Amino acid sequence: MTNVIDQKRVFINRDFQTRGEAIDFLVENLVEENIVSDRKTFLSALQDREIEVSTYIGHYVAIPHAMSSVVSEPTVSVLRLSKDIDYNADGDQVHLIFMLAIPESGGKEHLAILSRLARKLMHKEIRAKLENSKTEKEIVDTLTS
Amino acid sequence: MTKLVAITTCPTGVAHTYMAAEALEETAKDKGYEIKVETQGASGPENELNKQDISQADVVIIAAGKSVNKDRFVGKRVYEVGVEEAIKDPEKVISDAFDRAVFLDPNGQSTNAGRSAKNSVQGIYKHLMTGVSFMIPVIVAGGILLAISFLWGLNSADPKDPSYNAIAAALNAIGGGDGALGLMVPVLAAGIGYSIGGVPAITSGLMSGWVAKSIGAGFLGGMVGGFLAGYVTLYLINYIKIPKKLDSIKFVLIIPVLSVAIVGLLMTFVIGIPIEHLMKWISGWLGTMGTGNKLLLGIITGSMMAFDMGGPLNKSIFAFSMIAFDAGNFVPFAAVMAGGVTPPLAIALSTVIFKNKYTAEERESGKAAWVLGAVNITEGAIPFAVADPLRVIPCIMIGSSVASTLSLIFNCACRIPHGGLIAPLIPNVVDHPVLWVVSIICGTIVGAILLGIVKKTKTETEASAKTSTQLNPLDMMKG
Repeated sequence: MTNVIDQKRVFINRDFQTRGEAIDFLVENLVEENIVSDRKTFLSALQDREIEVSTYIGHYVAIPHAMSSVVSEPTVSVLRLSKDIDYNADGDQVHLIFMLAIPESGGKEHLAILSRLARKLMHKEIRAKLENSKTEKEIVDTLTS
Repeated sequence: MTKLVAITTCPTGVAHTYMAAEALEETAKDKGYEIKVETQGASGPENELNKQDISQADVVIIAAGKSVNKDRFVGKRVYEVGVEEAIKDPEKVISDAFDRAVFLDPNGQSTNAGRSAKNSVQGIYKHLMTGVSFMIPVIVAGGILLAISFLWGLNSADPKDPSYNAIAAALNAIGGGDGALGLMVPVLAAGIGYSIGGVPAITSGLMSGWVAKSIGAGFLGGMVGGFLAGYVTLYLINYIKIPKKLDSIKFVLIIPVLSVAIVGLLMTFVIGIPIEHLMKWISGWLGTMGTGNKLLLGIITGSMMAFDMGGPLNKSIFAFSMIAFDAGNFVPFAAVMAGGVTPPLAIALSTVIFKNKYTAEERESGKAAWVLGAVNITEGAIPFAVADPLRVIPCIMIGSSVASTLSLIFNCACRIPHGGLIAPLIPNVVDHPVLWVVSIICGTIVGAILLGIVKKTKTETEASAKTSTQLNPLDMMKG
């Protein structure tokens, strides 16, 4: 069984020019891990969700997410960028991206992990820790503590 | 302690729902408010709000990215925002909630037609009760201070009178028609408006009540004004869309100016002009009637005094009796005053005999009604009439008619134009003072018994302590 939060899906100080590039990268990684079976379907699910309400949550943080039948396990992917990118039409700048992939039959425990993670991101101290973490492991520890 | 309840939800139900909940909880705690947030996420509702949470809440915040069933919150002040706003700026959402939450109007909320009809009646009742709870302190303060000023003598506020006393004059000014009692109808209208449209409707509510007073429309006019103010303001809030950055202008400039203008003009022209014509017509009609038929005159006098207590009918019959008074016929005025004293007394007596027909709050204001009735402040009956007009007004009209008719039959006369039950205590002011008091006692008993018969028994929750419409005025200062 896959861990919801795992070092394998934490990427720090990567460089991307656009939101599209960053999201593509994260989704590609899930496809390689066999968590997402169909790249296109999941990308369009993310896009649909984004259109409903921007997943930018302030403080340079975005949490793109989607529920889809092409997702086999609920996971979170973390991407810390080396420089901010434009995240939406409002020109919001993003530095940290947490992408949640949620299967349609999401088990309660997994959903609970994701929602606890979402709650954590609302805390200044947590966000500061994530910004200052030197290793992937530190990020996982912060998110799972 | 200030208590908030909130519902957060979003389309996926995994992230935003919980972030918004967290943001609201943390912010509320920082501000020292108690909060409970129900999350309606993908795994179903968690931390569900129960009845007690909702009834204790000062305000309800709904931060949602999809529609939420609001049936639970009918009658509460509710503030709705997008879920992302609660995440990005929870502080603003909470302070806006206090400023801008509107009472959830059951109209149109429910899809079931039968239920919605019942709810809309309850909604109207609730708005009236809110108006009443705003108004009662004003009437009690004004009425009692005015009554106290009479301790120095009925004319002690008149500098030309030998009984003049500066403190009595001041109390008379503070409590009377140019003071607290004069604010009664505006405050009633403001309360009704607030109940419908929230804080922004207070401005147009106060003003509509003020216009009702100046056009002589009395408390019934004030009730109409309050509903107009509430719904016009609510409509403006909901239908004026301006860019977010100009949002503050909406509430400090656009809504106040438009709502006051629209409601004020409606009150002045649509309500005011017909009343002016009505009063002219009535005074002409009263003039042709004469004072011969005592039974007819008694019924008309009592009914008109009690119907609108300060409104056009009341004023017309008062003016009619003053014409006779100035011509040296003091009999019609004794009947007018009997009819004016009776309504508060009948209600006061009724609250004592039929305790289960009144709320605890009403029974308390019944005590003040004794004093107000005794000094001819008919307004003491108004809160009861507003709360249950279709039952209360006919009963007190009949009670006053009995008092007025008997006063005429006994040929009582009153040589001063005010004073209530104090007047017969002054030598040579009232002819047949004992019979005049007997007339009032008869009217009071008849009115009280009728009220006991027609008023509905309060359920235990209604009768006990405070109703849910009880507002803590401090709520309005917050935010």
